[in-house]
Amino acid sequence: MNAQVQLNQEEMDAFKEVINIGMGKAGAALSEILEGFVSLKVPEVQLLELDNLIHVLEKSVADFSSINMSKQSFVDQIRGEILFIFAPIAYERLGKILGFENLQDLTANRKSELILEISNSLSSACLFGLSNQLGLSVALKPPNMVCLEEAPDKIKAKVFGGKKPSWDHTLLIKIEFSMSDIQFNCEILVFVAEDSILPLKNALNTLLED
Amino acid sequence: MHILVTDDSKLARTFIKRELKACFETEKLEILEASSGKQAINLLLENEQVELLFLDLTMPEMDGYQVLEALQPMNLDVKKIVVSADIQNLAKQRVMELGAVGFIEKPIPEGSLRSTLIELGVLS
Repeated sequence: MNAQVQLNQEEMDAFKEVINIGMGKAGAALSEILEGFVSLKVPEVQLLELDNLIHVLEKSVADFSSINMSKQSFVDQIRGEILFIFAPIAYERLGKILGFENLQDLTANRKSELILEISNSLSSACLFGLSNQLGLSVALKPPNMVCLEEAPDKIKAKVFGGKKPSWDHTLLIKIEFSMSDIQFNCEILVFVAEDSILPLKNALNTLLED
Repeated sequence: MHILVTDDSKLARTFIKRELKACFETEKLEILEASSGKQAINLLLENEQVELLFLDLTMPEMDGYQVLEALQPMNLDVKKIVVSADIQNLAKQRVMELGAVGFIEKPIPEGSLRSTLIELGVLS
């Protein structure tokens, strides 16, 4: 593996702390949107080969009978993809909190709209928190749905069957948000592209030198 | 003054220590470090002279909330200040209910550690 894409222990510690701050901002945004307490877990970071992503994804969806998934790209000084994996959602409860009307008649479009709105709020808070600390610019593209209420075994093809990323390695960040009072669980997988790891390392080292 | 800084991130502990040294300038500081909630509790029990505890919330195994809960029945004479990236209003409310006397957001805004210590009467 190219040494330039590997993070040493100190860089990894710093990166986790930077992610932790981004996650905290996303958690606060979610807490405000959904009017409740959001439980945050320690974020996980690992460098892995793209071929192993499928195993990570399988593990993330293994416990669910059906899932909802959205996807969003980010570009600029660091680039990559974000996957949002939502456990089965109590749509009526969420819709009511978000002020949606005609809750008994929630169409697939309305459900998708809800998921995309939450996805975008989480990614904005999280990535901009991260980019602010590291002094790296990042721009988010609009999120789109991967699947709505589908069995986990069908989603693999949808995520990886389309345009496969050009990188061999990725820095994977795993973040989890949960709200027990409204049965809300969301896992975010951020895949940082291989060619963004070096600028990221440089930014982390600047932070460590300060 | 004896202070315990608890955070699973070495970088975060370094930032807090640097701020503390700037705040106290001439006063002799004894800063202990813990990288987990469990270690923090053990160090507090072993070092009764610790007056200030800086505590992260999101940590593996035993998080900051659990540390505060565990400390409640112990009645230790230590001021607990949470330093966290979990900036939800409900998180702030919850830690205060669990006995924290201050909350500082991460990344630590300039001057906020000093102003918290002044508010608590630790610094003049």
